[in-house]
Amino acid sequence: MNISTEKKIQWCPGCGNFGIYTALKRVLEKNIEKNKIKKEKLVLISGVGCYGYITNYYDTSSFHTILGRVPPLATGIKLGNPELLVIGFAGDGDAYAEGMSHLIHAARRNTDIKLIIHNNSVYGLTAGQFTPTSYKGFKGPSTPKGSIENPINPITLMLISQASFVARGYSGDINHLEYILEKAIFHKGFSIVDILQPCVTFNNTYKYYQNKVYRLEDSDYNGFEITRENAIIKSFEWEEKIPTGIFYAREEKTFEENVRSNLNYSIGEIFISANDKPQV
Amino acid sequence: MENFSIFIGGQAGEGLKRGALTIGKLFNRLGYYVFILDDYMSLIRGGQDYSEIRVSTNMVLSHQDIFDLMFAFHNDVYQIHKNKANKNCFCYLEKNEGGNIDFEGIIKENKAPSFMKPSIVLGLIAYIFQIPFNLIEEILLDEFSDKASLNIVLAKKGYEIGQTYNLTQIKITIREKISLPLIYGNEAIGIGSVKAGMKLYAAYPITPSSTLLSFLARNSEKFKIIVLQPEDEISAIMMAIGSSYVGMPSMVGTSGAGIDLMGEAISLAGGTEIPLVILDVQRPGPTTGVPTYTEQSDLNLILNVGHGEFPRIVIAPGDISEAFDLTIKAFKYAWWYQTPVFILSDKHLSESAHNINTELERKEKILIKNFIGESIYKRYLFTNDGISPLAFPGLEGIVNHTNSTEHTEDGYSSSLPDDIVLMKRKRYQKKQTLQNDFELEQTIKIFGNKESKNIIVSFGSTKGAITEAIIDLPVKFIQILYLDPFPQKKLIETIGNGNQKNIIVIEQNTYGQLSSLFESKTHLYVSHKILKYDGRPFVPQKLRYEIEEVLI
Repeated sequence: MNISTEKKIQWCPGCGNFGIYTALKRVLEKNIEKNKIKKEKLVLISGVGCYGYITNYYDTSSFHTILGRVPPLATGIKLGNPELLVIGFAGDGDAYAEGMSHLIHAARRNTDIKLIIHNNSVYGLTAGQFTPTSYKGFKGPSTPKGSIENPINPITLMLISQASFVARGYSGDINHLEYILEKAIFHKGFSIVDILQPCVTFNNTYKYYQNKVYRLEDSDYNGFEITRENAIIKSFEWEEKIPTGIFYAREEKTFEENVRSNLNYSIGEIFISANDKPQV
Repeated sequence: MENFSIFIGGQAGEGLKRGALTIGKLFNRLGYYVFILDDYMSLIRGGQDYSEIRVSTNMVLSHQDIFDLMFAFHNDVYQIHKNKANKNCFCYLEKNEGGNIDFEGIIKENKAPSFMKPSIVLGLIAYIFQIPFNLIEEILLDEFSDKASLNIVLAKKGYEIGQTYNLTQIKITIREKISLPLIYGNEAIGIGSVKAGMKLYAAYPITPSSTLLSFLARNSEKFKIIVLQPEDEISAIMMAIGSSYVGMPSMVGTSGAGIDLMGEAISLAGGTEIPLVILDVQRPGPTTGVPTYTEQSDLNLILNVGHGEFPRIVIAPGDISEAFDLTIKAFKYAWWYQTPVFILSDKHLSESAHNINTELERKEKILIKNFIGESIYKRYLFTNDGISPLAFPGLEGIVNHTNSTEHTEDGYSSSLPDDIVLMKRKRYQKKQTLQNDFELEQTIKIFGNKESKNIIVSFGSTKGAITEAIIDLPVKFIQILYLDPFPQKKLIETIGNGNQKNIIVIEQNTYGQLSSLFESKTHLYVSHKILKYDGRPFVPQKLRYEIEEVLI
């Protein structure tokens, strides 16, 4: 089956978004064919950025929303209909600047949403400003002399915030991304995949990342068994080599399971249709 | 005595609000209608708080601010309010601070917490009004169930003091018990929302809306709803938008500062056409202002919050029965028009209590224009009335693209002129449809002398004081229930020849927001504004004097 829409994709040639788009497309199509995912139960959410238009390119229900607010929107959706598979896309500016607070709370409440972070360390759509993951000294239109702030490490941040599934990907390694995204989607509970990607126009880190990334799965690191403390320590690794893969994964009861335990109603109890033929 | 008020004053932490409610329920049991006002400061201990329990043979929608019986646990609160004692008022003050009742002593003797002091008052009241003590026990058991016993002991002590000191007794006829429920404004809004079909309430604590959050949270299992307190107001409204998007009726509640924070998300809901009910319980601003007092200064905010242009509805209940009824309407309209609907309340309405005269058991389904699957689903299909058929995500064959960027009918992003114009016209058409439909809605209520040249116009919680103030005065009072769409046609019709009329706008803010809105919409001239902005609600008798001064 083909989950893409007819809409022409409007990203710069070589953009990391293509890698992410393709990896997820393959995961979704494969699992829809196997009947492990129902297409109509998919809801894709995106924030604001070049990546934000991604919801135009998948033929599923979607919500292209405002900057920084993907996590609470996603939680609301999952609470409203727990049968839905809720996948949210956010850029690093969206998730780690505007929406930092929501992200931390979403992680600690283990809301059953899957977040894919397009981390290119730049605000691409507004033409190149620095973000919370840009290196210190980054020169952009708002920091022409170089930024003076320390970048954050989103993996450490999410692990400390009690996230139950934390992974890092690289848009240049689509096969690895497929593996990670599939695990993230089928993880019960909050999952976040921070995907390093170059921005060919404003922050082309392709060569930089290509030389440094390695797959955790190629080592004896096992995110499904490691303690959170050790995962946190592993997350500090960045200077010489950059680990990609699943840092930590453990399942526990989700926020929605807990909150909805008493709720049992059908939509027909609430609504009445203005049309004769009953649909809801 | 057929119409009187009881004052109970003390510090935060001395059980005043619960005490006032218990006293109110007692008088309902005796066959009297009750109005309760809780005046409290923004602290957890100390200060000078008080409650007024007004008792009457008729339904009352306001306090009086004049007392016939005063109970004070401390001298400072008594000193502040003693000028409101009626000429035959009996005052019972704490013995250790110059008075005659040993509240502190009784509490200490019985090793009771301070918040049980009002139970002593209940006993005193029983003696003063010659109420059979078993009724007091009944009320206390009802109110406190397994925690009632110590309260009953204290009430008994209060009664004994009455006997020992031979306190003056007041004759009261015991009538048939009042069966209309005595509830607070926020509770009415909560119950109304549940009856309407709401399944998710999200709120960040902020006075004076937090009592609604607590009420719904403790009853969430009984009401079968989800109640959430997320990290901030923005999260609250985003969650509610998410749940609404997939077909779960949702509401958020806050006060002015929270509405400010929610601004962008309100624009999101309006632009993406998501049904949502938003409650603003107003308090004095600007900024942190006076958290526990009342004002009506968010009118302009609620009419305009959220950048850009999209249709909205703004409803202002005037009493607690209306708070229930109009909350149900709010959901009905949010889901039919697929747009944000605001309920404008304030501290006075939300945190006062009176007996409500409306059918609480009603349960109505929400009417929606839903998609019946004749073709490919287009979330933003252009229609004559501007309302597109709704199909929630999750249904087989449905792809619902909801998009905050401007979009095509199918919900794909677009910046092309024709697409932009189509969507804006569609949303504008929705606004027109709304306006036309509302010609049939009861958007105003009229009280008083229908032929009078003197016309009072107001909205919200001033209703109680105004309807009482104008009794036997040559005044017509028009209460506006909907501020958007504004009912200018109905107003102009009702007012008749505006040139010959004396239009008096009454509101609780400094700038006269309703007055300006009224003038700009009706092109009628407001001759007088009666404004009150000291954080306290209008008092009927005092308001009457102010009205009399401007009558022609």
